[in-house]
Amino acid sequence: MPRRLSLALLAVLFPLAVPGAQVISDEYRVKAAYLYNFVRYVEWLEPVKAPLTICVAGQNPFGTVLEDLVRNERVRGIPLRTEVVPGPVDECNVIFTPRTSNVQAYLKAVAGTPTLTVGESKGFIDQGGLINFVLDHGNVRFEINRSGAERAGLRISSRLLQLARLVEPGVEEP
Amino acid sequence: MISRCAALLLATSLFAVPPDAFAQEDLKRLSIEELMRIDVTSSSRRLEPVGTTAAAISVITSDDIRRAGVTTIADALLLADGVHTARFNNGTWAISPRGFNSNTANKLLVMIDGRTVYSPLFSGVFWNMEDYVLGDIDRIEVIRGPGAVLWGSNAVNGVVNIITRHSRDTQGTLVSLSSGPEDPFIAEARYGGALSSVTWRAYAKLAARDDQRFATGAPSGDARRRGQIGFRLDGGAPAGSTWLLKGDAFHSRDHLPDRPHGEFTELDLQMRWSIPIGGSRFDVQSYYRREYRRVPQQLTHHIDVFDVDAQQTLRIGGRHDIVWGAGARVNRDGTDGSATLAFDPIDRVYPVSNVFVQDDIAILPTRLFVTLGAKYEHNAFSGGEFQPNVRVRYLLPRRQIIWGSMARAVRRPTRFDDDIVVTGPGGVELARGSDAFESESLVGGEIGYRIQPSGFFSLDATVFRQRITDLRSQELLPSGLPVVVGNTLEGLARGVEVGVNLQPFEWWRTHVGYTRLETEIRRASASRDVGGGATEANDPDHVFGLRSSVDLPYRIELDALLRSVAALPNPVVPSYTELNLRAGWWATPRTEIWFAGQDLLNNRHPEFGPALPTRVEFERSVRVGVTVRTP
Repeated sequence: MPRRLSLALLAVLFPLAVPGAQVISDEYRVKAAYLYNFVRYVEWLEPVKAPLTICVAGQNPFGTVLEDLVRNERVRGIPLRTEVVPGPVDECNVIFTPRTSNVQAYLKAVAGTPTLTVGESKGFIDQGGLINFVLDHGNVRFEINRSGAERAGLRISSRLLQLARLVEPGVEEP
Repeated sequence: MISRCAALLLATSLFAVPPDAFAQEDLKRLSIEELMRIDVTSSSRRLEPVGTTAAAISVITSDDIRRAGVTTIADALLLADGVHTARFNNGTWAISPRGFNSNTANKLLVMIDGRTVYSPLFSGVFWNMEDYVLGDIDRIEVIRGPGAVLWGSNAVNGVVNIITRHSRDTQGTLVSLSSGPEDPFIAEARYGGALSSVTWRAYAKLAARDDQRFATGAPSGDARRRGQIGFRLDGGAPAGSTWLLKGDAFHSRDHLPDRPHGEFTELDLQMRWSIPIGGSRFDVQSYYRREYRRVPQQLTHHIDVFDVDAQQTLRIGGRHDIVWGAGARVNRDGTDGSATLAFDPIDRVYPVSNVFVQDDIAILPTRLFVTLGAKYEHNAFSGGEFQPNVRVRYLLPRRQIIWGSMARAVRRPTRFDDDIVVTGPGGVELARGSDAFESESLVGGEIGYRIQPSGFFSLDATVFRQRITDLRSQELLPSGLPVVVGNTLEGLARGVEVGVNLQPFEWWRTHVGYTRLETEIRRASASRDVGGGATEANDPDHVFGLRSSVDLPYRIELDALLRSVAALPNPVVPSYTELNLRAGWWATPRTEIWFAGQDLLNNRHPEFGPALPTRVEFERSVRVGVTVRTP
């Protein structure tokens, strides 16, 4: 088969593999799925104004994965949406701060508001963050700052707490 | 084979959709537990939900086990669709999917972390000896139907794959205590730690169970006490080679209704090593297991099993996922019979070995897959057996899958068939095994359909038909007694299995399982059988199960498990409907206080065995307990 034809066939058979589309690593696919799940297992004690907004701080590592994930989804009747926020804002119900972002600035901006802060950097909980992704033997696990969540007016379901590593700010992990 | 070790993981590597098809839709379906298990460092292997597996499979999660409030592994199988789980007395169960159930059911492969636990003596499981800290069981996969190639020897009616948690997931302390009138105490303790790249855990368990009642109302004298200790070590780098070392020691004193002071011991030691070489992966596994059982006035025996397996998993040309391997096992046993039951010869060494290969072929990538497999197994009783399997699966949009399978699997002869000697009063020999006994052979076909259109609903349905030839018979020859064990019965099992998951709200999950089953046994033309297959099958036409799990505010969980089992024909056991309830309260995220009730609808009811005044009936039981975990 002429090489050109086979390449053309390949492009037809694997439209997803067409160059240009951003390839998202499994790590961020999984983290996106976690974010979607966190929203289902966290309750905002104050009513949430629709839509419930999941913000991604700074550079977006999810491509369209997170957006596709929450499209047309509702949690407790409230539609979900995502937004990439270039700087600290206060319209987010959930904010994910990738390790490339200025984590401290974002955390400061939402301190004292009922915002679920999710991070992926060492010391994120110590800085006042609520849920932190950690890589453990190739699996993505998460730590929860339970007292911080309570202070922020968020109720985290027992199911999530059970699966998490519970960490208090300032307490070094063993 | 090690493929058996983690059928789901394997199933995933074998049956997985290629990486590109790891679509958004799939991602959305994954539970947090499943997300936690995905290895994001490797792109070739990934954990798929059971959605795409071309087999009739139920997965019982650790959460299911905890919330069912059951006290034994055997009882946890109540949670699997299509399995008839019946108790005969406190220490004896009759458990089988796809029919041919009895308290010596012998067509089920049962494994704990890939280590076979059925007794080579009769190919059945002594369920009273299989225990664990239930909170450290990661999941139980129940695969119905013949799957001998993929999962190993004796996978005739199905496979039960009990998988304990990786020790890195059981770090810290777990203490669980419970007590109630029928179970005076069940105490479990585990501690897990880490030393550089090695994680470990050690555990101990002690439990007591009180007498049930005879049909007459008198105590049945089947109280038992059991204890177990064990450890597990895991090491290696996730992307490199990994290893596992694991050992357990079990001891129990079981009274049997007419034979007090039975004593049972099991020891096992197991290692596994997984090495990536080039683009493939080698797994080597070995284990040693010792079983010691003393049933007064019946039989005392001990068996040593030594097993080695090796396999290679590789992908060729992007379209072929191949697993091949070989295994060898040596059983060495000794028996000490009684006036009624003995074995001839008294001691025996009997090896069994196998080679197998399986190719999972992507005919249309992401759509149509065909799995071809074959296994050749050689045993010391009947020689070589060829066990092929063909599976096809077709993936449709909206997470639908249609699959089909045709397979042959054998239940190979055991000492029970070849060497048994049964003596009656006055020393008359009543029955005798036969060296001419052949493997029982099952050929079965099944077709399944599964749909998971949303996270709130899924449906799984399977239709199957399987035929057993050379089924065990009891032949009365013209020469008179003794009756000789033969192969002149034939069996047929067909049915439909349906499972539906419905989650109307985030906080309310339900599951309905229904099995319609027809089994029949008939005599082959030259049969001189006098047993009528009464010891080979006693199956309900219908089994219905309903499960409901509710998460309430204030961290309260409510669970109900309703099951309804149709009458058994021969010997007759009446139908029954029973209910288990459990209420748990997470006082803190690490402390759970709970109340569990089992068999609440009847004062007591029988589940298996002939309608004698001494048939054991199971009483209503309640327990309270507390479970504490520290990080």
